[in-house]
Amino acid sequence: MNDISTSHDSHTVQQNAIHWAVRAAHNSMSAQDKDALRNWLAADTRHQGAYLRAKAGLKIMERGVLAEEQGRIPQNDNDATDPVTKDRRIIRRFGGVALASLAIAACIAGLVTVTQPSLSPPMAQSLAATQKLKDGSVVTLSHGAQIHVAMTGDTRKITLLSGKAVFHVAKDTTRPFVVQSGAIYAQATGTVYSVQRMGTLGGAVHVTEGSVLVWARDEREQAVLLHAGDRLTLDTQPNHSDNAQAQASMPLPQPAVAKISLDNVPLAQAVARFNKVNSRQIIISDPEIGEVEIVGLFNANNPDRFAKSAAILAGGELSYEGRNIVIKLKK
Amino acid sequence: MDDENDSIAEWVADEILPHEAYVRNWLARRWGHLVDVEEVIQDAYYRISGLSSVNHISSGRAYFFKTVQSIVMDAMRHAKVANIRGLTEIEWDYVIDDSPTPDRIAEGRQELGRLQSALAQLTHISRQVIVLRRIHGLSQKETAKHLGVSEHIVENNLVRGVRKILTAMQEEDNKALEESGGK
Repeated sequence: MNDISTSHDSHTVQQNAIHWAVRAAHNSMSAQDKDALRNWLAADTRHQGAYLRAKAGLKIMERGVLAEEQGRIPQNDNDATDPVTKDRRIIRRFGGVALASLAIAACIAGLVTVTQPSLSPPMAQSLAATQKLKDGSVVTLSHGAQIHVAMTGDTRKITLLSGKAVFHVAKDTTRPFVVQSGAIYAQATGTVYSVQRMGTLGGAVHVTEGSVLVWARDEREQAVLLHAGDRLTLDTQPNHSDNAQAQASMPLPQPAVAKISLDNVPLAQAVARFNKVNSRQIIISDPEIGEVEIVGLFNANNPDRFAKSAAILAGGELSYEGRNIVIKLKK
Repeated sequence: MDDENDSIAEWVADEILPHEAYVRNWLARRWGHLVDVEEVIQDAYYRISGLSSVNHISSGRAYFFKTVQSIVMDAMRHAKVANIRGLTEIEWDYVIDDSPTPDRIAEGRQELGRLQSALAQLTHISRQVIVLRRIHGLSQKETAKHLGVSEHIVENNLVRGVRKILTAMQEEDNKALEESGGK
């Protein structure tokens, strides 16, 4: 595999980067190839950037194809009216290896097409389709739903661009699963709920299992906790501020994991804000700690980090009572 | 080496690459007469590849803009362009400020559209390779055998596919250019 040259022309750099990315991803590299890749990367800083970009491109391609193939969407609406024909086609496509998930997805696609005969235009994820996300969560898209998935080390963020989706969230308490619909955010760690897009900025959340925290824009500390069976529709019209249910006149959207900003706020009050949005409660055991004022910007979903800072500030220390965090004076 | 960098690549796939066309357009419109857009973008990816973690970054898009900003600034300083700083910061503030939600939705649709037209151009072999490897867990050799082609052809199809995706992702979208306005 020495045919990868070290030219500096940017087109060649990209071409080589793609070659390497494909080889590395498909584990077809010998020890010698690996050395060659290392040398190539070390030869020019642009190679490293191009390699990263090529790897990302490969991932996008693979995900795109898998999303299309798994929730195999009919290319036109007539195509899916007969799920049986569709199953046969899928079985043929995959050389006789029929995957249960594909068959199920196909059936759902078929059913939805019957009830929703005129959906336009055919998009990759525009009919009902079940998708398994990288974290193990399962999403069922319907009503012309389109989602964008962004998984990082500390959040699982889904943006509902349109339509309705049901989320079976895989349990992972360290990474909140946040669905954004317009200016509405719904967060859970392991539960089942659906979100439906309402207008440009709104969303309707329906919880089937467990509990989900819902808020609008950056007002996470004023979030509402929904339990199984609860429904909440927040339709935040940009020009309407009199919608009783929605906190309508709010600033522009913020990142999914909201911050709690504290500007000379007594700890007692700051703790109350954290406790309102987290099941992990912070307890102040000595009233004088509660009077200490704190300044700072904290992740609303990280009471631990906040408690640690608060304890340091107040000259106290932390102890734990079950899941709860206690801030007390040092003995 | 590859594994530790993989989560960064995932993140780039989610948060950076989809915004490349937008950043490129903007860069070309604003600074195309002073800097080499291609070089700035390349340098931005290089800087991103040096990140050991992306957990602290809440918006990839904003981060991409900021990276590009600092690269252009460095280039300017290097070229000793006078008074560039005071002038540019106003402009940067303007652009980095997140655009209103409906615009971002439109941007998201354009990204999706770009991706879909690129996916539509993939060869049947590319698709089959991805399905066989990623769903059925076949090795490259087994995949090639299953499809009755050489491993070389498997690889070439994937390479061509990735090239199409990357080209689509960087493509200038004239409509977007007009809509986001030369302001």
